Amino acid sequence: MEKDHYSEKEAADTIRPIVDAIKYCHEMGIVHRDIKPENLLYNSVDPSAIIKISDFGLARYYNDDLMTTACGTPSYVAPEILIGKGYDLSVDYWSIGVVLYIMLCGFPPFYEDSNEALFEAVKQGQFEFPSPFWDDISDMAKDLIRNCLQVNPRSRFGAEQILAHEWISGLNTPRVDMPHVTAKIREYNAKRRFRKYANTAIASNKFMAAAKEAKKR
Amino acid sequence: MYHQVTCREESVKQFYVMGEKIGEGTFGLVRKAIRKETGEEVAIKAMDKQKLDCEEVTSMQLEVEILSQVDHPNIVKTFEIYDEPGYLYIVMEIMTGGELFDRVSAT
Repeated sequence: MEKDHYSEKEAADTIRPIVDAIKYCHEMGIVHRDIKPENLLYNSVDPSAIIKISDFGLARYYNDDLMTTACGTPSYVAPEILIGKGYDLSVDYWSIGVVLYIMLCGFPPFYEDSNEALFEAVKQGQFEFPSPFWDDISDMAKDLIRNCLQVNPRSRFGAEQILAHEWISGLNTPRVDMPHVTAKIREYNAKRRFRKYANTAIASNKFMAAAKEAKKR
Repeated sequence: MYHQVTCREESVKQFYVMGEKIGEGTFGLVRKAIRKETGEEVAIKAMDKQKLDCEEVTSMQLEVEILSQVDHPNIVKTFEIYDEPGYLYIVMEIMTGGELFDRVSAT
């Protein structure tokens, strides 16, 4: 993304290759299960740097049988993982929806003071585009986010639909600089390091324990 | 479609000089390192096998298998894997540009 300028267009250009890489993984039968900003890294400080997915620590092979292992990072985890009745590759696109949301306002769609409350909010899938933060963001962007943050995985957008969406591939994605969003992201980025519980990956054997732990607190 | 990642049984320190810590993965620390032969900078993730429980060892093996298979311009490249008695080392492309939001914050 170009220095000193951050628009919806730049956000779209940043996320497109990530969705392409996830699509590639899915085609190889691999589900990442931990897509989040901390795992999206740039290969250099150059303006032309390439963004890449890292850390396949929670990845696994997927073979048509629904997965049931609960794992991931609380802020980005898909509702069906928490519901526990099985999930498939589409959990990665829910996480993309969460990342996209934060990219356009600087705060997460689901935000609670404990993992327990957070998990409840995610299961309900109820989120808003609060004013004034979202007032200037395009309807196209909101439409794409709503389609990624669908609680029902079957109604959720997959790679093809995301990549074909007008916000990602169209010519009308706003190019207006969003300095207030940059400021909020900076704030979120600093704060995030202190909110470790919601942002740390939890492996399968510890995931539900973490939820219960949150309940006790 | 598959790309070949060499899995070696020699010592990683024979080929690389280890540097400072640059990050933390789900299972292990990531350090900067220099390949002695070429002077090339890489990132090496070290996983302490002793500290992993049974399930985590399985995840680690799965991660290694997956890393050796994926080859995409937007996925961090894995070069080599060293399987030593105490530790498993994953030699990867070094990512010096920071995380997604570090970059947005820098604008």
